[in-house]
Amino acid sequence: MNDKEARLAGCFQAVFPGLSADEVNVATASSVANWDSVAVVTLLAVVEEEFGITIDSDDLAAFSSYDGFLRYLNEIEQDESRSRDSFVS
Amino acid sequence: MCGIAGQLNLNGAPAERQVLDAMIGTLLHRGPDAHAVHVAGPVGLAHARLSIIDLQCGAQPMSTIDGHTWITFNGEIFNYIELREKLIAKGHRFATRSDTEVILNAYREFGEECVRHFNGQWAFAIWDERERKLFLSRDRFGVRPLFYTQVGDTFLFASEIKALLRFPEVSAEIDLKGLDQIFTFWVTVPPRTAFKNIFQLPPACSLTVAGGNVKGGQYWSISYAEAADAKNAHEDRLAEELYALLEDATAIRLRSDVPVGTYLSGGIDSTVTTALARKIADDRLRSFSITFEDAEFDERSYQQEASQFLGTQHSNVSCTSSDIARVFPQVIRHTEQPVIRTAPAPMYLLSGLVRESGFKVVLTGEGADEVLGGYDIFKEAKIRRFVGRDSGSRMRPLLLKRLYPYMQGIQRQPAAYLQHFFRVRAEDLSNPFFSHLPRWELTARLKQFFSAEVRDAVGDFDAITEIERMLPSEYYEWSYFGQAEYLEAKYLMPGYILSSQGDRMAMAHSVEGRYPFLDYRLVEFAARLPAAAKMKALDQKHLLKKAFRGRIPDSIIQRPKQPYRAPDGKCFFGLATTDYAEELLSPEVVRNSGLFDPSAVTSLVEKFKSGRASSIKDNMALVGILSTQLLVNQFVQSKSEVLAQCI
Repeated sequence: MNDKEARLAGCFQAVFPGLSADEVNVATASSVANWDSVAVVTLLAVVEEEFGITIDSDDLAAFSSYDGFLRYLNEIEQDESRSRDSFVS
Repeated sequence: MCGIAGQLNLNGAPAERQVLDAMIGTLLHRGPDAHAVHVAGPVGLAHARLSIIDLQCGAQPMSTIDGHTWITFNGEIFNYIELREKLIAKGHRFATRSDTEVILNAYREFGEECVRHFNGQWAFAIWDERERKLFLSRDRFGVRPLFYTQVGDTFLFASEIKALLRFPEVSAEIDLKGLDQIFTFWVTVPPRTAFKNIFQLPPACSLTVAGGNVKGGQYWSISYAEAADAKNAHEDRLAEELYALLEDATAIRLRSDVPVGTYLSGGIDSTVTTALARKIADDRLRSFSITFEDAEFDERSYQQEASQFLGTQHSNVSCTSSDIARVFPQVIRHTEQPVIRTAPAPMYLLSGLVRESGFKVVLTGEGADEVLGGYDIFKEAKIRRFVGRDSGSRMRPLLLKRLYPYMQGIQRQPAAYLQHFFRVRAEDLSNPFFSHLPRWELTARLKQFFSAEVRDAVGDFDAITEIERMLPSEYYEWSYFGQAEYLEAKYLMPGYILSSQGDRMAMAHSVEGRYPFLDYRLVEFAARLPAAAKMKALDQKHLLKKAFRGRIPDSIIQRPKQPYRAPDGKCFFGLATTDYAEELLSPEVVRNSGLFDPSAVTSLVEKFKSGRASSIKDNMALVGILSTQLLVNQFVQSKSEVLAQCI
């Protein structure tokens, strides 16, 4: 688990305190009992705070699992990297 | 804990013992065990004592052994034992075991800087005969009150305003800008009070009167800049550090020559304080609480659970709406300022129970919410900021439903309503008062009840703009969370939580409150913590919960935050109308006081009588107006009557 994944797991455990480290990695809307729309928005807030970003998506489906959040963070990272490269070149 | 008063004639005329006797006579509820006056030339010091430490030898006013330095002191210096040893090592001699004498000798050793060495809660005046100087000081957080005024060449000070009003030339007149501040922030902004030309020494400040000059200064301030080492520290280590600080803060607050009890509300803060007191004192601890007949406010099941878990001998006082209405006039006599909520009234009843049970001292959980991120206003600000960052989002407003679970109506509302209700406005994001704007704007709406005369007199005075000018320059560098904590600790805590709801209600029945969470070492530690340690995700007081998991019942750690509240407007116009409320809110009496619009007040009263008043605003308006009318009746008009009798 890299640093980004560990921080994201911390966000999940802050919102779902009963979730073990193993359960976080496979957490989805259907596997976590209290996963509802308010929980997703809470996760968005916590992830924004942790990573210092603003999530500009309103698509609940994109955030229906731990993997969904991780995918989003990876995309942001790639976008940032691309814009840095274009600035340098 | 005690009452203090004093007089200094700047023109050298002798102080008047009769005046000092009258002043201290109004403060005997603060110190019923003994009272005395010391007069020496132009200065007079008066003291009403609540004996807690060195019962035999701690009488005041007290002097140094050489008789050159005198003090009248209200409060406790909790680290007095350690300071005493240091002072003895430096050659100072002591005639008593009291903390009062420690202050005197510390002043002789360190001068006015002595206050930096104190860990405690105090308001005192020292007369330095050799330098012909009067030195006043108040503790860092404003736990103990200290008021002053100057009439001609006479400087006066006292623990409560009513003592100052015993001086014939001190007039009792409502300060309209102070009233405007109360109807914005719930409190006046020090040094202003609810009375014109009567001032309060701000927390963490000292005042020197010498050579005809009055000079004030701040000796301590707090920074909310996050400490780099705390940012990188493991949460477990921070929790251990917090526990150790709190344990020592509690231990030194158990220093007393009379038994110490605790308040046990059923929330985490008082349970933590009680748990530590139980552990340190290791005997049968007495705990006290309020229960409400109205289930909306009642927490008795948690109180019982905490008491059983910790093994305390628990007592409670039951509070009904009619109890609140019955004691409200006495409550305002003690708050000496209007209040927007009735919540001080049950605290008044609670201190009565403590005193009847034979206790003079209680530890309480005050300060934890301000210091460790407990208040809903912090969570509300965090969520509002999250929603405001993308105000067009359909999803984000859903998070507003996480606020105030006890307000059932909110849960059913659509997103647009919630955004409006919580005043989520993108343009406010850069406002330095973002966290507090909804509360202040809601309270300020009560000013629509002001009379035209008051509005004219207040003119273009803007309470919020005024405090913006007073913000420390580093405020803008702190985190949003730190800014919110600063505002709460700077305004509501000293002016309302520690005063109207704290010192004044406890001392009304000669009870001293002690607050382990307001040990300055702990406050400084907490202020430098990363915001996420205090509120992780939306988990309030996260680090405190971590530090006490397993030491107090899990159910109390896990329960949703329930703010301390009490029934409001319906107390006065519910099942039975309270006579004094009916009279004080009548058009004629309202017109005579000149502060409110009689027809607007009449409409409000009718709304309550017909059972149509239910909003927060209606309740705050009724309590705010009624308490102001009581203040006018008990202080302004009674002072006029006394003067008329003299003439």
